[in-house]
Amino acid sequence: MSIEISARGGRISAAQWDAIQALPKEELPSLTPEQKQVAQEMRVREEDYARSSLASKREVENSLEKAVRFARFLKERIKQRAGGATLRRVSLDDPSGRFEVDVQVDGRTFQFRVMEKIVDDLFESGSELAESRLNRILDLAFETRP
Amino acid sequence: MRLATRRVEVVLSEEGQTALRLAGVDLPEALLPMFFVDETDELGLWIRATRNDGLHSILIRWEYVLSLDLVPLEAKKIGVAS
Repeated sequence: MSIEISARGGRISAAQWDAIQALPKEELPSLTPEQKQVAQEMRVREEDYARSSLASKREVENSLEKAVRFARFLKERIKQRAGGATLRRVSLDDPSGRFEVDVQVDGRTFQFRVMEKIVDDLFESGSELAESRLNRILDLAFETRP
Repeated sequence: MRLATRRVEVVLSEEGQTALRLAGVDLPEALLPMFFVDETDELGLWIRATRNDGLHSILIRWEYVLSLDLVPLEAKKIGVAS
């Protein structure tokens, strides 16, 4: 059984953005007829549209990578809280800045949310406070599950 | 919403467009020019812009920003072993 990981939107680092801007034109993805039409309507050069499209892909890949790391972190902690509990889904919605997590216990699924900032603080600065907040969120999610 | 390290399409006032041109930024002809936001603060948006002399971080004051539009977001789904 696998954990479903999904993401909508994301961010890229300045270095990734600069690398996309520096890509030679011939290495850019080709546009679909629909994309070409939108580019024309919005008066965006096709080359700029292709760079933007590539950046969108990188953004969501970054979010997926973050969601996978968070899922790995959560997996064992969830098992520790209830025998037979399994992590079913981790989803990062970048615009709202929240993860949604689905956990299954005894055939029933419950959901809780975690602010993306807490996860960033944990992974990017190793914050003990963030880890303690995350443990508190997990405790509350298990205590109040339906 | 945090705008740092996001790409945004910005509708600028005439004054804002003039200010950017005076700062040597080559504004795209697009209806909604897109910028990469390095950071935001109480003054405005700090955007990344390349001029002939290199990479700059340029301030667009909030009063010049008429609207902001997040570029279309892609969504993806994968599975990892539990």
